[in-house]
Amino acid sequence: MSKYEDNFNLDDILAEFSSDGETDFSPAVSTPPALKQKAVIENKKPEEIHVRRKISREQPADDIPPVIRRLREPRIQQEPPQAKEPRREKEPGTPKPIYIPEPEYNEPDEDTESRRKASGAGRVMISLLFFVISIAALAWTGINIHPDSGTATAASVRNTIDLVSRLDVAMNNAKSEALKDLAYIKKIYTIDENATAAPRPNEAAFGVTTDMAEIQAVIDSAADLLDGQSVVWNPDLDFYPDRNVYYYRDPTILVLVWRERINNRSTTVAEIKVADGSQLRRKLSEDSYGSSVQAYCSKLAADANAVIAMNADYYGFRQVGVTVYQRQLFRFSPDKLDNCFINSKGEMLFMKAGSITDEMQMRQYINDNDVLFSLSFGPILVDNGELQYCDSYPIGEMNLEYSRAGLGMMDELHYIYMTVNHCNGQNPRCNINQFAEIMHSKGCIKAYNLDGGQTSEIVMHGKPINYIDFNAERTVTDIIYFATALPESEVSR
Amino acid sequence: MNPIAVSTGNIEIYYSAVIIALAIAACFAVSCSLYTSYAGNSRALWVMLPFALLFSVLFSRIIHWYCHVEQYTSLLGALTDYSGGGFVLPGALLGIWLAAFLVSKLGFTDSTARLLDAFAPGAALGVALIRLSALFNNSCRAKISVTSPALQRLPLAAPVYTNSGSDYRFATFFVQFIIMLVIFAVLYSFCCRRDEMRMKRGVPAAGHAARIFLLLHSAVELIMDSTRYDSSYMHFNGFVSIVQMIAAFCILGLLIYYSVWSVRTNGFRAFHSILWVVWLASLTGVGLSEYFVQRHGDWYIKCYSIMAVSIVIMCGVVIGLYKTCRYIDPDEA
Repeated sequence: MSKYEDNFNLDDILAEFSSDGETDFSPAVSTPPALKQKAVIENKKPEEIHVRRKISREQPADDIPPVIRRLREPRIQQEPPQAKEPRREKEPGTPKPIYIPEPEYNEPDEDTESRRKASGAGRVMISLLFFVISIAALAWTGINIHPDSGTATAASVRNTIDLVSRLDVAMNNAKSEALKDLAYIKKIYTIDENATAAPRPNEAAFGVTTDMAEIQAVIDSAADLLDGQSVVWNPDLDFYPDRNVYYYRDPTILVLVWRERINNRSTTVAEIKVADGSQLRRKLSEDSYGSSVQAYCSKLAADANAVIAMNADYYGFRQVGVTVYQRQLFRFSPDKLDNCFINSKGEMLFMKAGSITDEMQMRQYINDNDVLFSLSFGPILVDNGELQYCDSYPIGEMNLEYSRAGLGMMDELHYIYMTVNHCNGQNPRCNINQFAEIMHSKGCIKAYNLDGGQTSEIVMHGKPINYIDFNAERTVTDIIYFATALPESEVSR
Repeated sequence: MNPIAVSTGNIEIYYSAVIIALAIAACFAVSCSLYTSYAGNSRALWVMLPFALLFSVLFSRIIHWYCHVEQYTSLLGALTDYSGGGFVLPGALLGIWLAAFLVSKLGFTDSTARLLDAFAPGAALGVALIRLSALFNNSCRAKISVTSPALQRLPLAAPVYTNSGSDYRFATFFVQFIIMLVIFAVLYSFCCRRDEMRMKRGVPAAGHAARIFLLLHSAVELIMDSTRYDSSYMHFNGFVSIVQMIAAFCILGLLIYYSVWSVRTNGFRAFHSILWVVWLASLTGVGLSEYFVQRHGDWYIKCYSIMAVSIVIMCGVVIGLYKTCRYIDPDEA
């Protein structure tokens, strides 16, 4: 017996449901109608029954859309066989009672309730208000939200090359052209420091050979560029695993790349001599600091028209260090990492971690030293020709045998890139101090460690030269590269 | 193609922005039609829309700020200046859920779950169109280069123009657009057949369309985000994408949800253990595929094939558990 029996006229309710015509109470198994009705009533709260009757009176069944009508139909289910609900004792001589669980959900009632709550002039006003706000929000979205909005710090910065310098260069080159039959005047070529791509290299100037005489001839032809400096390359090096030497030469840049075994480590060495400091450059993906985009080193090198490129500090991977790009200070977290600053003359300036802790001082340092960009990985490997021993460093797994990459300076505008990698899966790699020794043994007066592991990569003529970990390039956020300063218009000459 | 559709004075409206606005409108229209067909009041949706937009933009922006903190001057700058920066789409899911919850608290609806159910197909359509908008800007690019001329066309590849020349990349957003359209169709059909899909006693009757949307959308994001070259990475590890993490946690959450209900309604059975083991194995497959595709960029066909199969299995397990919670009429059975 229902506990609500006292409050409701059961006959009315049963009559209402049976005459409704819109409700099918037939369960899956055959059941006498009276028992079905009873079962329904037993499982309904009085409020629910009341509301259902109201709805059916307000609107004729035929006018109700089929979807709503289906929703309003009470659902009757058999008990799932697994459910462990108490069952009534079966009485002899009586039909098997059917257990009908509560409906799983009660949308019509909920909806009626929400309509009741949401009714009234106030609600209508609120709805109208939100309609207007919605339209305004859509318009705002149209104006403001677009995934191509780019990054906050596009590389549009001041050009600090003063007009006097430009005039000097132009005068010098004009004089050289005019007097070329009478006297030799060396032309000056520079690359605009704000240019996102350098002049295209001359395809004919690239070469690869195992003939040491050919390499010597290339070096000899670059005597003017070398200006008396000697090269690291010599034919007696312990070339490994092959004797291929890759090269590029034009009046503004000489590049020699070979692979060599040093201290039983497999290294790839790139020796570079340039004519002007502007030829040592840095490229960030999308030419914007903070860009989300990552690209392969070879892709970035191709976009920059690099003659030779190398991974840099992979600044997007971490949030520490000091990052200067196109003379702007973008990141100032100087406590942990040694920094390397490159100025407009192509010099490497080192700063130990924590040397400058004030941002204003750092800006002053950038201005005073004419810093174009920085590299923030480290540690410093060689400084003023002295090997720098490192006890501990927060990044770079310094004590592990790891693939390494570094940038070194031999002399004025004379650099080496070096990586230590696996080679044929046999050679061990090295820890930071071993790498510093290798760089030092090559005669570097300055050397700085860059991001290693799978990131360490030297790209020339569109392809990696060294063996990269896992034999596959990794996408990165930045590279450093050397480019020719020779204008494309002069390449044919 | 010029990405700017309208330029008047200081205002520039991008094609992609117009499409995004249309996507939101389409999402709203579909949601409204479904919700009213449930005998719901469309006022709830009108109230929900601005809140959903506001919260979605805020949360998407906050997640992007977390991942790319250096693109912004500050958190406040990220939330007030929209001239730069970006958005991380899963933030919108949280925004929509919060908006629905708020609308429910304001008394415009009694069932947040039912509101979200009605919103799910619309959200799928909206996401599809938002992804389509990428064709009108420079963001539809993936890490994968498509070199075969026969494949250098939509839906597989889209051209990228750079200083070093044109380059065809896998059109990750366009593919996602197509998949989300399919998901929209599936969810719409699911919502229309909602009455036939009764749940066993005790299992919440509403909210399943929203959960299945979350499952399928997370599955799509789990793999498609990996193909992007501008993923947003976690701070603690620059190789772990935040979108993939959120997607994996959503799928895990749904696995737990339906596992609990399945065990409650069916009792603990052997198939539960089997399904969990299969799910974990698939998750491992996804993780390893992601690891290897990051290490060996040229293995992408192998890795993404394994990842796709694993994700399908993960979804299959969750849907399987959902089905064990459904009431099946013996006559129909």
